[in-house]
Amino acid sequence: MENYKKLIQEQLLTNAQVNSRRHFLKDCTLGIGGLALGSFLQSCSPNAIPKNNYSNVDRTLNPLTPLAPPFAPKVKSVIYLHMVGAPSQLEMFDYKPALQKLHNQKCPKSLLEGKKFAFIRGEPTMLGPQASFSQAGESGNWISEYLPHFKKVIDDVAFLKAVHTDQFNHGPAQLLMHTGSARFGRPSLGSWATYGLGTENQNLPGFVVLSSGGTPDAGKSVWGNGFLPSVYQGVQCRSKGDPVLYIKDPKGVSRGLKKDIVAAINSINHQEFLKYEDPEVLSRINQYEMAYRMQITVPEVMDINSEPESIKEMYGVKPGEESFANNCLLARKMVEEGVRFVQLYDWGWDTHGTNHDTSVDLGLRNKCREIDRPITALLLDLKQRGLLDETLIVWGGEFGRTPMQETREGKTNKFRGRDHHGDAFTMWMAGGGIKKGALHGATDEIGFSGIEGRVSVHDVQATILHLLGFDHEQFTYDYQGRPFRLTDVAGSVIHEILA
Amino acid sequence: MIDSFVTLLGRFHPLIVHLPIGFLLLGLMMTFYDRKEKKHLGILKFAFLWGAISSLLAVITGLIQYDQEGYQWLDIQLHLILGITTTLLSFVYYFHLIDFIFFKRIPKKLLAFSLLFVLIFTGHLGGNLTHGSDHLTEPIPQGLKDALGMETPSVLFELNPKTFRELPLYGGVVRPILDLKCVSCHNKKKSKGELLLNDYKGIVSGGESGEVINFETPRKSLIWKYIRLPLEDEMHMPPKAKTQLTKAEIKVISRWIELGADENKVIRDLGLERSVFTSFFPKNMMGIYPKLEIPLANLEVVENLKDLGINIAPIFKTASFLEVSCVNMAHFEDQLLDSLLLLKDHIVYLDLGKTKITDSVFSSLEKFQYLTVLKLDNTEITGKGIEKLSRLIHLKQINLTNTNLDFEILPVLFSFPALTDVFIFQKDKVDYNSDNIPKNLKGVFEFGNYKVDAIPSDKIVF
Repeated sequence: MENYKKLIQEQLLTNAQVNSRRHFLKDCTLGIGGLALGSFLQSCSPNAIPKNNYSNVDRTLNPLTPLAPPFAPKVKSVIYLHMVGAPSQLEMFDYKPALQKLHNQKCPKSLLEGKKFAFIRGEPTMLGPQASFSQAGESGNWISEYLPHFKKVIDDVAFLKAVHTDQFNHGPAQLLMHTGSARFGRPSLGSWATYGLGTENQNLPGFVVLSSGGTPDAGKSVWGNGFLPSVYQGVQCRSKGDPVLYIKDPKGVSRGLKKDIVAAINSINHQEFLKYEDPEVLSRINQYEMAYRMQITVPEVMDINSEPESIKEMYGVKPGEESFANNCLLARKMVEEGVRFVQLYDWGWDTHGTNHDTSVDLGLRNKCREIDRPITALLLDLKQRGLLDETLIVWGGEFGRTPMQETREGKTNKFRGRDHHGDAFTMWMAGGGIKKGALHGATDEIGFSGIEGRVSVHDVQATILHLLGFDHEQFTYDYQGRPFRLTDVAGSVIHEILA
Repeated sequence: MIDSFVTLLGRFHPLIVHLPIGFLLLGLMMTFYDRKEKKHLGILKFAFLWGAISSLLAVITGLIQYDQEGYQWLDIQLHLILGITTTLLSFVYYFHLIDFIFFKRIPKKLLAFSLLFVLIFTGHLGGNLTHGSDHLTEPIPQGLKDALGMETPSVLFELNPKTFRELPLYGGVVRPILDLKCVSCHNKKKSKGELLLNDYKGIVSGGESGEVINFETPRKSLIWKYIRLPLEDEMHMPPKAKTQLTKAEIKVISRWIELGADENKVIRDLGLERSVFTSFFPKNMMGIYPKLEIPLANLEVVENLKDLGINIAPIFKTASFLEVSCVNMAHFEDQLLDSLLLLKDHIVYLDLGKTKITDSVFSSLEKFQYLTVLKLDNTEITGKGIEKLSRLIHLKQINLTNTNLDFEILPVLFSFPALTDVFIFQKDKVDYNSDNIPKNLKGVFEFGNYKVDAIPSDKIVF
């Protein structure tokens, strides 16, 4: 008992020492002085809001209010077509006749030295291109027989023939491609875009994700918001069944009742916000409201049956199924409605040659057929609606594929297939601000490494941000005590493909 | 032997200068502290005597350094004069203290303040000489610099697209690039690798690795090589932590070296293509919009219209021109356009697509004098009255896809002054005979109606 009293005495004494009159005075003077100083210096901050323009927009109530970028943008929206699994550039866009001559010959050891492969072990042989190529359009760019329709729009796209990445496994490479970092935790391209620009249509998400065939290996992080407020993450919509799960009102719940429920929840949430001022609460309020509005708009926009037959025919859509063609048509509809960023993932491009579907001479042809017509239609449809000049279309995978036949565990795979390869692969862009028919970069004779015009993943991202009106080095978000940007500390805009 | 000893003595200047600063400051502070009681005259005399002597030493070593180390007169003149002044003033003050009659006529306060000022200013100039004149200003945040109106050297230089060919390639392009990105380390005061890049003479003389320009085989020139090494390479220039050369800058420097690295040849005579220089032309921020400076619109009007649900944003953050979209206002009707008339001198991009507007909007639209892009797609518009828009000299794009457009009105558009794109694709509508469109306008009208024809391979499954 005595000890207990002693402890209390000690505690009181410590309290008295800490909360002395001296401390009170010190806190008052320094604390208040510091506060005042902070407000004096505010005008010195580079982030201080200048008063001579319209940009004094309050985003607290609606984090998706459309904002103007620092520079005049070339495009308003982006449609990003990602072929999950990494398509083979050597069968699609990068024509390498010399590789044909080396077909079945042993790969020289010098080529393999210091390189890491996901599966190739031992001494692989070279694998010649399995497609025949021809030049198309006025640009005369090479295109494979796997993509016969694409010839029609080849003069609208600009090729990057020597993109490189330092990742050779799907997950990290996809993360790098979409978030600028091979590790989890960074915001994706679409999140940055909607964070920086908001979105035009307030009844639809600003960042829509549509997938066909499967989910990317890196999971939903590739459209995650990272450290940005969660309202900027991608919203996955399904092209089969209900576009968004549980979007319909449950039985017995009328629209009016739903409205009252949302209003009640939001008023409670708003009190919570006034108490703690946590922006995530606002995100939540906004998400409830948007979900309510989306209940009407999303099923409308996601309904491809409302399109005329001629358009459905053009894309080759399959209503009621989950297909890349459906997603392309949906992407156009979304962009037309003022959605900022539409991300398409098509799964099934990992052509190792372990079975029929993953062979570059059989399965890959089927995959190419599935995208050839829809992509061609998408570009033409955007063009005829006057949207191509306002939209950026990006096509690519997470890396490329080897000029060698894959030898898994030292044994040659049953089918013709190629391993992961990040040193050189092809991507293309089309739309506003892009030089039509341009070609940038070249690979060596066998398509193994870029020899000229090499561009990194960060260069591609810098270019996308540039077209949206941002300087990728200035577009940052403060988190954990330092500014973060999409391109980390690298990247430069690829001016060679800009108009 | 004596010479090297003298040089060594000179190098003690940066050390010795701190003695008079300390002694004299102490003396001046003591003077202030002791101004009433005047008890410490002895200490004062001592401080000022040694202050004067050490400052004399500082002047001597400083002069030696000026003589031996190749400083330019223009750079050091003020520092030198003020240094000598400091010495003189400190001696005068000392004599004043020891009641030397001659100096008693000078007021003591004046003397003390002059000494303080001259002392601090001399020290500051000396600091600038050793650390560079931006030593103190560099760490100030850019925002504060702007607020204080301090100039920062521009990171870019610009070429005039019309007259750039008359400039010498070195003086007009290469030298400004080097000045911005290389000279901070390769100049007379600080010459890394003993290389000077601040003038042509310096470049030709090379550095500690020898010549940096190889006139016989230009591609063996060290500059040519180092600027294109990978960033990670230790020899890459500029060093990783410094502002890098852009691709265009590397290209221009390389081409200059490849063409013989001449000092005076002008761009026209060297026959360089325009594309090498395009990235140095002034950036056109306005894009397709009118290149005009106009005042901001009334912010209150903008906010009120936004509250109605209209999207209004400037075309870019600092622009005055506005972009307006009614994408969230499916119920937008003709009368509402009258409220937008309040911004008629600011709207350059107007999207009325998917709204309930009719042909009567044209009489309001003609008042938007800077209108550049007009979207009327997916509406009931037939085009009647569209001729009123012919007075809009900036109107470049009209989108009329999926409307009730009457193709008969198309000839009206032929006389519009600035049109570059007219989108008139109508689903399920007969083709307009495009022969009626004048040849020079063929590319302007986009009829669309594209088909992706089926081909046999569409059906083959492998």
